[in-house]
Amino acid sequence: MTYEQPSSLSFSIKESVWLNRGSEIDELLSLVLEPDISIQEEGDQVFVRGNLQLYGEYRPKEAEENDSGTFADQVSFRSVEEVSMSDDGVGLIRHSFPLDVTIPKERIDNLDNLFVTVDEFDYELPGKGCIELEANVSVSGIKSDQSSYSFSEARNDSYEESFERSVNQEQSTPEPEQFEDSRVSYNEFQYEEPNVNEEPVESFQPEQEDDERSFHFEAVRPAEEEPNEEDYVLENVDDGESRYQGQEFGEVEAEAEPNIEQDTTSEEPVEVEPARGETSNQEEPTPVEVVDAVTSDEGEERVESTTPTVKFASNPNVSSVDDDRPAGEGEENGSEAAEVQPRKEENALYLTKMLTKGEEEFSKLKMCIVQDGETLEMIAERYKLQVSQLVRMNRLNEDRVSEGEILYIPVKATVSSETSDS
Amino acid sequence: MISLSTLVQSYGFKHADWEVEGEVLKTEKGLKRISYWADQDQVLWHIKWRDHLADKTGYLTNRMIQTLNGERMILTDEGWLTLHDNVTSLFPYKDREGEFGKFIGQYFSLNIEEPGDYHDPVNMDRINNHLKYPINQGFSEEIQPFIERLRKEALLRLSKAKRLREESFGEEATALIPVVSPIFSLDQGKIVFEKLYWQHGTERPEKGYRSLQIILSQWLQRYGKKSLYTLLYEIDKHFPLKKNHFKNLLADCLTPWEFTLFLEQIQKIDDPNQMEVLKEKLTFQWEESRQLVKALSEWFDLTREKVPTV
Repeated sequence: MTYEQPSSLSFSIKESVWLNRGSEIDELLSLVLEPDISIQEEGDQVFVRGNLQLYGEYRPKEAEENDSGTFADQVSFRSVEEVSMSDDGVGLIRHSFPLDVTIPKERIDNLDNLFVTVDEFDYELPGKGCIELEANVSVSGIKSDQSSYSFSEARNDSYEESFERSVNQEQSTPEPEQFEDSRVSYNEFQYEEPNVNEEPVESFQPEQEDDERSFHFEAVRPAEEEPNEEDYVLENVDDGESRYQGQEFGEVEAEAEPNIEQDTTSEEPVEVEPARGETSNQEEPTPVEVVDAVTSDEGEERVESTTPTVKFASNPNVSSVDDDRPAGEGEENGSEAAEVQPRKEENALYLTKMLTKGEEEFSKLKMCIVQDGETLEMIAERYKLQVSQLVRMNRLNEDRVSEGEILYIPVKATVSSETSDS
Repeated sequence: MISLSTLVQSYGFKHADWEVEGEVLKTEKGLKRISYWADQDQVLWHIKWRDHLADKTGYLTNRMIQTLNGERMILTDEGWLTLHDNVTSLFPYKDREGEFGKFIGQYFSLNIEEPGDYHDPVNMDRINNHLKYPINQGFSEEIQPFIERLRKEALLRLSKAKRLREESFGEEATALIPVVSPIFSLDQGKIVFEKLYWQHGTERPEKGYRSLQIILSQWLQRYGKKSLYTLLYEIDKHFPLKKNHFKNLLADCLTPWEFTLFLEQIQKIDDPNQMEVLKEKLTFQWEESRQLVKALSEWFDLTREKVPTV
């Protein structure tokens, strides 16, 4: 039995999130980016939809005293965000980045192997009212074949790289509970021009968001094999060596869901259950769309439903990866795999471990900002971890941390794959 | 439903057909929209209001088309019926603060002195009764603190609104609180021959500043604070906003009507998703009110500074 070489569709997200005036950050306490997506199969397409959910806690900047005696001060009142802060004065950040990826079904031999992962996540605070986020997101479990590389090259030549993000601000804007960039209109009438409030802090600037949002397509590339892959990976695949050869992200999928090759004999189609699809009704996802639009090896002829194409509007940054494999190999292996690998009922969501080598089953990372007087032991105890795990995860050279330092906190998987030993 | 033949006979159309059955009529004289009224006095009030408004402002409005007998309304099985031109193209407001400010100023200074069944949408006593006690109706642990915190802030808003209203009565005892045909959106402004055509609804006349609040809030959201200030200056030329009406207007804007509406709506739901939608809606409306109060009060401070004290 031969295997398709899995690949990852990766892109980076660069977003600026503005807080309301009066909700400016004095100190960021925690920040988590977590995929909340559903995977659905419709016809020849597989839709990966949902949101990247940003959660965080912060201490707000102290409001200036209303001692000016102006009329404006006398009648001012607080926003819902300010009022909603918890009793200890900790503000909560909630924000959604819609995600919509469409992949031709032929490119996926097992939906259970399809993961959305946040590979890297970082932020900056350029101002007290703004958080700039950068994240690298991967959709892994897509079969790679010759056409995939043609695809990435062809995009430069033949296809408009328009990232379909925020086409409709009303749909894609985040929750106004926390941010003012969500100008969802509850009026029955549509405005001829949307919000053009002059104060950027007070209201979200759609143009600004468009400018600052940039999703960089990196590559459709085969995952690379981790030489020291965990044993269980090999135990649970029929041909682990060949399958994971040359993989770049293989260890992520394997350790996240080790039973990826189960039920290989069942031919009964199983309805795919969206992982956490019930939450996706809050916003219409739009940003990343991978549609069928592919060139053949000659780079000219359009081949439908074989390869994903990603459209990006801003900052397209496409790189292609060379591959020596013959073009037809992917399809053959894909159909073979499709016959023997039914879909499972669940799909786990994972925040990729950025720094682990696969020895722990963690589903996401939290970011912790070290406070004054805190030690690694205290932090490890708080998150029920070993100090050594923190050291390893954060590549620390010593067991000491200092105030303001950011630590990545691994959080154990909450969704485990269903194991079938049949 | 009103029959086509009745309309053709009453209004003397040569050709008429339904564009939207029971609502819009396609005739040789263009599209006509039907309005139904339950109360004759209300129709009479609107007829007078629209006539006076058109005369005063010079702008077109959806006045009642006369029947062949010269009547402005006809009685049918459905109740009172009036017919109007149907205009759908929206008026472009951008950079037209002067024109629209004059219209709105005249709109709110129009006093037709017609007795009517006025609606007072911002009833502070009723809202106070809603808010004065903690609200605990078995909400989830997540929603309960949210409601309680907002209730306290809403009470603070209400107390400020009351104080403004008291000050207003003290200072401008003679101020005339406007009674107008209710406005629900800037999109009631249509364009005909490059001119503003104002489309009224059939609602009860409204006493107070809620309609002005909606106009100003939507203007702020669409065109920003600078444009709003220009509009306010223009309105003030025709409707003594600063002198007589400002504090009452601000009191209405401060009144936490959106929170009481939220409280009423959450009584009727049990789906957590619906709760999230209502919370989001409340947040949006609350924030719009907050931004408007802030903009208006800053405008007031700005204009007050320029007036030398005697």
